[in-house]
Amino acid sequence: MTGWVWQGERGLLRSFDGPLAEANAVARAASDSLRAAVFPEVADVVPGARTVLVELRPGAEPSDALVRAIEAEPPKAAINAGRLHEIAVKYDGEDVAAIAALRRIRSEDVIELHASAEYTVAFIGFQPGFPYLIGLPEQLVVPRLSSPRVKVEWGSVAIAGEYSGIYPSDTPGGWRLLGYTDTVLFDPARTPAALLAPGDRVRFVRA
Amino acid sequence: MTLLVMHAGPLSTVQDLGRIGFGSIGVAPSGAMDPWALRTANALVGNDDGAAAIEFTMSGPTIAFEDDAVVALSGSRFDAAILRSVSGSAFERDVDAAPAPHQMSFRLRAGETIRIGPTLSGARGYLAVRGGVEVDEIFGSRSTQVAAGLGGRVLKQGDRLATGAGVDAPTRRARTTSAYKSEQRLRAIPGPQREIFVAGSIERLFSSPYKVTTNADRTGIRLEGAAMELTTIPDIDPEGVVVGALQVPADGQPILLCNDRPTTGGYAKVATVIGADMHLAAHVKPGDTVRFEVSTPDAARAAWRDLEDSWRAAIEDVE
Repeated sequence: MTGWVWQGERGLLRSFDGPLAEANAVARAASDSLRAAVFPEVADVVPGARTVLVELRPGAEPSDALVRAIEAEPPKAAINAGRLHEIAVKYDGEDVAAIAALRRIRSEDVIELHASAEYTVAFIGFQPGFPYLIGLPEQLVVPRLSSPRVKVEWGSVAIAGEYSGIYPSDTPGGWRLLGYTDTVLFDPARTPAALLAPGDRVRFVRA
Repeated sequence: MTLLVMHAGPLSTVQDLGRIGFGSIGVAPSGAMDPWALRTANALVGNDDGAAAIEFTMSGPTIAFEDDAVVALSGSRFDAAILRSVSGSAFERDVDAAPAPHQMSFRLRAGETIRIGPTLSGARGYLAVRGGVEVDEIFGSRSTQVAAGLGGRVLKQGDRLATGAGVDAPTRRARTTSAYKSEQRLRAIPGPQREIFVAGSIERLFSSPYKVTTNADRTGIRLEGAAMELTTIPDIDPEGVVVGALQVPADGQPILLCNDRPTTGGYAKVATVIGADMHLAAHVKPGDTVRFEVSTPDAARAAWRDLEDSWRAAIEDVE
């Protein structure tokens, strides 16, 4: 599928079909190559779960070269080969028991399943440095809370749908909480500011 | 030069034209909700268009100037006064108040205070100071991302803000019409998730009035009106969203995403308000009405160019 659609007059959004992990790998590859190409009319390139959004500068028109690059067959692999991060987690989150009940497994199994998988950073979104991790075991797929918490503490390790994530800062949030890490995911004074980049791999280690 | 915040107002923040190009690490652009008003205020005091200034919401701050300064107010008109204390008295009844000009630069002497009260028109106003407000730059911008606590400054009582130097500015005024209307018309481009909406539902967005709810801030403005019907649940695989996107959760009521929005969103989007009209949305208040009109990418770009051409022409020196 080579189609893209407008999102307003500034967004060109291309989507990729297929299973999430494959579509995301292609979206990341497309995002990396569009970012590397440096088009003067482009303000930002933002990968999503299975999309890449090219955001134009205000008032700018997309050049033919940009449109061709967006429509082109993306490279087979993303530029980022994927660093492996081990993140220590204290698995005493408030929702472990509720997740176990929803999936009819033991709380211990929830933790064991979450800590035994290897995840890939699909994209960073929502808040500065918030990683959307794919690779969550199917037995842990649960819906978001029907009503979000007013405050989720920074460092909270959580799951929702097909994703696991880590809250980099205190924020309202609707994901289900498994535990906590004291790893700092985002620090604007650091280079790079975001610890995790799309394509990086993550393993959670019981603390 | 230093400004002293005597009273902060409900939400007064330092903003410039925002940080662009950090969406892939989850950093929103932030920046002035009405970038044209910010540019105008800066031009009036002789700053670069993108210098940092103070954006205030619904009611403004009271700020004492410890040094001589040239300042300007722009955006929505607020009840604003210049206070000169009488023989050093600390009592409010002993101060001599004069109305502060709007859309025109003026001088303040050391020891004078500007008191910005409630709005007399729309939601947001701007105070620029010659030299610009100097807080640390994060990713090339002094803008405040309120929700993530990133960059800039949310003004608090007792804060001291540094500004750049300079009092050598000509007196200027801006001949611009107010961006605020209690019934605001916003042009929007339909899509991209048309298939999630029941046929006829998108037309409803463009034919019915929507009321601005009290749930309106720099992240987004929740609207209330004819609900759009969804063919399925509104959850989509999260994707990058642009400022101006109208996302629709399960209740069918649109949320207009603004400068501090999350960089990705997992709800279907029915349309996107064009860039040239977002500064109009910046001034709507709870209880106001917005109506949407269909636009196209070409028309939206032309509208932006018109704004670019017209804003500077509106600024003139005053003898």
